[in-house]
Amino acid sequence: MLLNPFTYHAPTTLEEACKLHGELPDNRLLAGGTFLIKTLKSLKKKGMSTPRHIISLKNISELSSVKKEWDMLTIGAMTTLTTLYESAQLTGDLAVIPSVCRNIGTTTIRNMATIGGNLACRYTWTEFPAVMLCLEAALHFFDKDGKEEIVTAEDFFKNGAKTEKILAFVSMKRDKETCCIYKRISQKSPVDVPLVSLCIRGGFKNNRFHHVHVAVNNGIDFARRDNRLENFLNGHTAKDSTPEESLHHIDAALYDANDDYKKQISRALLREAVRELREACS
Amino acid sequence: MRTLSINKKTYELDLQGHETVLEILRDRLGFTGTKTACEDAECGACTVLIDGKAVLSCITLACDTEGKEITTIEGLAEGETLHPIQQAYLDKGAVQCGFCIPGMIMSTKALLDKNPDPTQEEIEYALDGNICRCSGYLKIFDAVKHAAKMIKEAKTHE
Repeated sequence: MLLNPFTYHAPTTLEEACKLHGELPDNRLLAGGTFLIKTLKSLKKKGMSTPRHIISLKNISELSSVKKEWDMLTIGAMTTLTTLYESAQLTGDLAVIPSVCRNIGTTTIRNMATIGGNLACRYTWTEFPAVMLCLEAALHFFDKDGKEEIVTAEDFFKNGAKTEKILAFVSMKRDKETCCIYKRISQKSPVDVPLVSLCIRGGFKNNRFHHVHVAVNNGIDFARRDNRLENFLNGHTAKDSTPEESLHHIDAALYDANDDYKKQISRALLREAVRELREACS
Repeated sequence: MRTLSINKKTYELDLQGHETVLEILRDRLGFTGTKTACEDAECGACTVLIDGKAVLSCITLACDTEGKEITTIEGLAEGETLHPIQQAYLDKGAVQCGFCIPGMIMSTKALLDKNPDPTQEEIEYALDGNICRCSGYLKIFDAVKHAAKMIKEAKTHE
């Protein structure tokens, strides 16, 4: 057997899932399975204990959705990365979402992995936290009584991405006047884990940047916003030298992570991202 | 008891929650065409189609597939007649040790069902989850293009 025995639960509604999650001792939520099942196998091989209950969210159809209402987009947490990659609704500043999905894992992984798993798995290196910080996304959690709590992505990751609740939806307001650029460098084999990733969003008017958000993920800490760089870029005239100048106005602690390679590569990515943002918005 | 639909046939099984699709296919139902290799979602040898999408059966719980259609390599041929994709892989000499091939073919099937005329880049992207240690991939990509051509010609003659 590849896995230690556990009791499998397959709720068909969010309400049922919340109740089970609140009541069952030692349970884990199963989204796409690309993190959890691998982890359970690894724990078994090491002779470590594994959860007694697994609650699969795969039968809750309301959690697999991409809905647009006016300028608000709401994505169900169980929406797969392939679905997001192929979604015709993710355009403009939200086109960053399919572009991020394209480079995660492999086709088979993307067919299974979910945006909710990428956000709530508590691995610090995953791709979507930086993006959701830039898009000012809201995360919709539900507790064991089915009560909703909405937390900004920024607050969620600032607090270490801890929750006892179920992440059900992610919502964000589209902004037609901004573009969003995502950059990453990853080690390839055997595991596609981003070493460094960053996301920058902003608009461009009268040759000046506006509404700039910069989120950095150094792979060690959860993604955080670089307010220092944002303050520099907002209202700043875009010149050819701006990408290079930006490097002198960063919150260095967010990028460095005690690794010379990461220090250099994150600056290279940032320079490229600022340049591409200006080109994308022009 | 749960009902699984595999290669358009239904199977009533007393599933345990922790059993993966790979284990059910190979150990309980004798569908050994789907291979056990890395068991860690990295090589693609265990690729099957679930509702037409290529997924890794080594990290898919069997209980999660109730109500869905599972297609394995055994489900492609019609009797003695190979599926065009299988024939194309043979025609182009894309098979060496053969261990990765069922997974490659299932990923190819998923690709060509959705995109009958893929570019080289699209082929490489669709098969990026299937590793081959033998072939260097070129003949595999040729086989995919050949299969696409064969399927298109077959549809034209229908």
